[in-house]
Amino acid sequence: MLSAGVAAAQAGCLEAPGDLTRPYARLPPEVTPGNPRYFATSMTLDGLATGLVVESHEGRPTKIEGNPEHPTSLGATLAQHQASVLDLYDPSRLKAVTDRGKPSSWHHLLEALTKTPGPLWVVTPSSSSPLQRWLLERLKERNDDVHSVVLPTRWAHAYQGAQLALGRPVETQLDLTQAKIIVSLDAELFSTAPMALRWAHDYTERRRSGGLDDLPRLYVFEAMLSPTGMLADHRLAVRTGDVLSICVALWRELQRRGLSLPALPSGVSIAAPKQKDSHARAAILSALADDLLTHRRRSVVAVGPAQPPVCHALAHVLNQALGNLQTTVFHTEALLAQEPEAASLADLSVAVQAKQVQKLLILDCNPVYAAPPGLALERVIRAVPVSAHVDLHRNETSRVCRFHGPLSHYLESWGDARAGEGTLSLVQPLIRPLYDSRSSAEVLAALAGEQDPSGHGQLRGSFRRLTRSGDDFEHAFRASLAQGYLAGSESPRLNLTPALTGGAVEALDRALALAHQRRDALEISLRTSPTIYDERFANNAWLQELPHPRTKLTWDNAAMMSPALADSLGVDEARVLRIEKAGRHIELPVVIVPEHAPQSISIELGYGRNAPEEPIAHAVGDNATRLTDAWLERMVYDVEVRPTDKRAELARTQQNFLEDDRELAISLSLRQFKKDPGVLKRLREDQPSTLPRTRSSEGPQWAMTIDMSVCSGCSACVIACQSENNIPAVGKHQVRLGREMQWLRIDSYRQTDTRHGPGVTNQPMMCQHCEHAPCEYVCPVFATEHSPDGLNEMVYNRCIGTRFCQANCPYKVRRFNWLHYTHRWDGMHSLQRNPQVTVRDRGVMEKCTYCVQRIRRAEHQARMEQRRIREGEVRTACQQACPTQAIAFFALQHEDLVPAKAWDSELAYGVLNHLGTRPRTRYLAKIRNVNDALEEDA
Amino acid sequence: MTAPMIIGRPTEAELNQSLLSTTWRKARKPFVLALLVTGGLTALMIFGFGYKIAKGVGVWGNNIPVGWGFPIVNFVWWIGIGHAGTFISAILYLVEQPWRNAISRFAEAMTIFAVIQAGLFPVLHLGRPWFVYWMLPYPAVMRVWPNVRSAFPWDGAAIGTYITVSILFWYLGMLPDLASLRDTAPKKSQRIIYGLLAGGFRGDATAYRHYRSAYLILAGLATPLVVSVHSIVACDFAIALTPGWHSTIFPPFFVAGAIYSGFAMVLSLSIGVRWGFKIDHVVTLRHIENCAKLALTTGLMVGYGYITEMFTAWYSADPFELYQYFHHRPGGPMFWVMLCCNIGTAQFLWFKRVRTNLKILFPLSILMNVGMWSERFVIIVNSLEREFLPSKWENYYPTWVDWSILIGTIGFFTFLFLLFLRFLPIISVAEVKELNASLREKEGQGGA
Repeated sequence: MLSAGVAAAQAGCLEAPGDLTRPYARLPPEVTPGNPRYFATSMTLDGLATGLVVESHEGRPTKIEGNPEHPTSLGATLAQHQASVLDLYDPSRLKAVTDRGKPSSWHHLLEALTKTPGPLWVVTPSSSSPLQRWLLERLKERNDDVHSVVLPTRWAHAYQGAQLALGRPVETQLDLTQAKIIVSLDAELFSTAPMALRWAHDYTERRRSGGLDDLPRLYVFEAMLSPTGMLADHRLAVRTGDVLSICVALWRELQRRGLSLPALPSGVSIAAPKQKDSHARAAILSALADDLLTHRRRSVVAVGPAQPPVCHALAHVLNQALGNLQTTVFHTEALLAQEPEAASLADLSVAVQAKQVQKLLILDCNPVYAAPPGLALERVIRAVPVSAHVDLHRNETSRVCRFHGPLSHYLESWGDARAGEGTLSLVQPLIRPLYDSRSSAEVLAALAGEQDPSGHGQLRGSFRRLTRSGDDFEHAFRASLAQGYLAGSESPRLNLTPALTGGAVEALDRALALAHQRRDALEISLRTSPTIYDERFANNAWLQELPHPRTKLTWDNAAMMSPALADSLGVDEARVLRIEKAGRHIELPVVIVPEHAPQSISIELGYGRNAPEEPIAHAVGDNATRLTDAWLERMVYDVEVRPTDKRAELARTQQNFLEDDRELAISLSLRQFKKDPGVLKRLREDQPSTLPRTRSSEGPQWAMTIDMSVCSGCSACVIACQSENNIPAVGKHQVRLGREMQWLRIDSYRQTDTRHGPGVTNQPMMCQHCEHAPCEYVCPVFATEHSPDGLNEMVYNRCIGTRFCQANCPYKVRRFNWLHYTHRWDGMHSLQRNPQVTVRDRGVMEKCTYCVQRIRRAEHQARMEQRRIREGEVRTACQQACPTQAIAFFALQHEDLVPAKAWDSELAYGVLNHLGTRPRTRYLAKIRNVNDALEEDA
Repeated sequence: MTAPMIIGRPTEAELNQSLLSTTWRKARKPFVLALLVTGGLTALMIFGFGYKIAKGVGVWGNNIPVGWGFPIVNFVWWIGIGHAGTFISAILYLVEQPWRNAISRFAEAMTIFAVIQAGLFPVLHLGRPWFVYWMLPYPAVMRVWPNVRSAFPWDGAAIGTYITVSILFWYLGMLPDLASLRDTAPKKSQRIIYGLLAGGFRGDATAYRHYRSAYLILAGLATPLVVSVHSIVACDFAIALTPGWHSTIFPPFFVAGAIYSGFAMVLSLSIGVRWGFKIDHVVTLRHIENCAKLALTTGLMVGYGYITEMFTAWYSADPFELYQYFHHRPGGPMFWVMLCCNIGTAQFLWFKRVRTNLKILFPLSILMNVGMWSERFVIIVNSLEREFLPSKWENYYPTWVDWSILIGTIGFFTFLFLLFLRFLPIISVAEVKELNASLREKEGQGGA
């Protein structure tokens, strides 16, 4: 017995000592049934952490919130964070170890990886986790024959650019609270950047602190309208490949105006713009150059990861010349940079061909899907005698591996990672692993032969090493766990001076020559999806069903292009396009985006999964990495595009993007607004109404304002609402029929005046809680009624499903349970449900409740403490998630609260106010800080 | 020269033979075949509704924003058809139009069967139809009454009253004929059944006196219902805010449309019955022509309604109304089907040659009802498809279940009507005899 135990320990088998499950016969003192508890943890996305606070009901994590104290969350979250809780309960997760498809054990898997003679290769995604790096080091230390392959980070170009300009890879930190002029060169500052939440927060703060007289101005140059572009004051749609020319042109404009910039070699030529948009381009660049020079030290030039390294290098120099360094732009140590001599997948492939790889462990990544097809990774992995894949699901990579091991979800694991600005963030489990799964750290620790391979023990070890703490370790560790991060651990700012080196000039010459050569070529621009992010979340039904911020497409990716390109290709919407490159092809439906750059097709990644074991992800859309020849190749040329005779069935939640003269989503330039500040008064005034009035003066009168100026359409609110309120996903077919269930949708309207701004205004639309609610008087059974505190309430039990309320709701925010939608999500998924929200049955109506459960919970708390509800005490799920704080929830009596002041401000108005519904949700008109030089003709 | 109300002056025995014997005659093959077909369609309807109850409203094409689709279209259409019966038997009775006698019975039967079809929908279109009784004012433990501000409880009351009065009126009118059937039935079982149904009506003067006053009172009660029922159904839409619904002309507009579709259906049925039962001498061209004239009149009212609707929308200058009336509706096929079938076909009825030519009139009457169905579709579905927020503009596509139920109710209606033709006196024989006698008397005087 004893020897068996020793053998197990040597093989790294986990045996949790004395762990028993116990019923709640005797309650732990800190638990009150029905009251949720909150724990801090972190989620890693592309190797960098965001601090979260997770709501747990009797041991079940149910809802993700941002950690308000964590520097890269500040309380907000992305849609992907919100949705990650669903992945925990995904019933298609791997549940046990298998060996060639037959049941096996961790013991066997680890034994095969340790006992089989020969070198071991470990493939991991790029990660900032000190623990993981330490474990890999230990593994290599203890075993000469271990080679570690870290997949390239998405920010590789930024690092290479910093290498060119600064001599070393760095993280570029922005302080947007100080930035007056922000230039985004294809940089998704507010959606997929690792610091997106922080930047979105800071941008809003900057906007609000200065008031209307000192608004920041955002210039965006990009191909496809991104959430960042949605906030732009000026946006120019350029091909992703032309952004570099824009950067160079801006450089020259600044130089011409006397800014001391190193001269670019005269041979450098810029891809000439098409005659048609050259005027707009020249005007915006000239205005931007003037703006940058008037606001020195208070501007930011940011570059996106798809741009070539040299573009990043130029931006570094520009920021330096504009005096932004150390005021709005800072540099810190790179968090994901790899040692130059690190092995790559290509090295693995070579080694496999040389029969030098006996054992292969692929941990927490799916390279077979994500790698460019040229690597032929499938064949490479198959050739390895002992291969193991440890991941959440059985997927493309597992299929070619011998062992499949279930990976623990981050809500089941101990671990750590650095946030975008360096803060050490801790990952603490909310629940014991649901299946026989292990975290990456546990697998690596077991391989390294650690004494205590448990994730907890490893994290403690790593933390102790990092903090060099002695006696105070316990205290420091516990405090950090409670807080979710180690206070004061952000990377120190570096003092580096960018310079345009010879290498950079050479690279620029090459890049521009290439750009010139391709100036008329059709470009395929690959993007991180704003909904499913990448292949990791493809099996997440909430994200698959999340309408794309611009196209409102669900359950698909598409070839997004400008109307002009669609015309020249002779295709219309939903026509399936065949895009071919070097014998590889993908087929995607056309979606026309008027704001898209000409001669460019944008395609989002993460789709086209070939994974029958992931039923939600399988065969949705097509995989555009098949067109690439190298990792991180985000612009593809020399493709052959031709329409097929097929038409795709697209599931879009909004078909019509024009509001005509309906005054719904109001967007004004600052000058227009200042000319007539009372312009919105009539859209705010009380209208005569024959509808029964239900306003009461008792108790707090709840209300909401939504600031459209800062709504980027990122859709974190939509998923937050879905997660909080037990809203089922309904599937592509039902969405096609117009039956999506999300209580909160984001309407997008194209402006007819598209001379500046993004041309699109986002309007989050949910129940408006009308004081004169049209839905209430038509319900024959009083199933929808008004509460004394101003909520339009839905009584599910009483609803018989006449749908009269839905017919009479002018905002069309009511959702009906056409079929038994929730039953599809029974079983494992039902563990995610919020016990404080009723799960609705077939045949009843539902809609936004202003998160009534949160209001009532706060009321109970206040009553127990014998006080009134505090101002700002109740926060709705959408409000809490919103990175730009566009949504504010308050009681009308709380007049001191800033949002309550906004309620009666000149910017506030009610949608469809003329109907006399007196909505309790008011919108603040979108104000675009248009550059005067560009507004003349407006 | 108008056609006579009764051709020839048949004796009472002859009338009995031709009008009552339909009940004993052996069913002919085409009749049995028709019964089988419509019975099959009824089964289809039951299956459609059953499938919906089992699965949910989602088996239909409804969505957000079009929460009401085929079921409510069918409901309004059927209830409209159910209007002509009462109009003929009550209003024409009160204004002493003797030509009504020959067609009143099956027009009333048509009313009842149409209202039965209509009544299925408000119940079965619910998300949870098993709780339909919550719409009724009953002493519930929770003391929750229906919301009287909603038009649905009004509907319940209006339709409930209408079907009750219609059945009573129909049954009361049938008493003398049921008594005749009892007296002439060849089999004992039939004598017992019809005897029970006749409720002891003997045909003596006292019975007739009571019968007459009861009939008059019921006619008086039924008359306002002709106007009220569809006015209230119209309120389901008129009380809402939706552009295309929110209109004060809806009640009279709906009533005109209802009577129009009702007369179209009476035309279809009387032409069919005449042909099937060889009763040309009782249901003469005079009846057909009068019905056609009434259809023309109400058709013109409907046309006027369209003009007023469009004018009001234009005059309001409300962008939401303008879009609905001048962009969306004319952009779809149903609007044009509606105009052609309702307004276009009615214009043919100006011509006597058309009014008296059954081969033209029959298809016209069918087209009129197609037109009326389209009108309901245009009003309900098109309005919902394009409401206030363009972001939530969606189109509506019915499913096979929707079609099954629509076709199924037509089958069920016909099935019930065929059963009526088989087992009950299809013509108000007593009244025809009376009319016959009075005409003879008049002729006798004229001749003398």
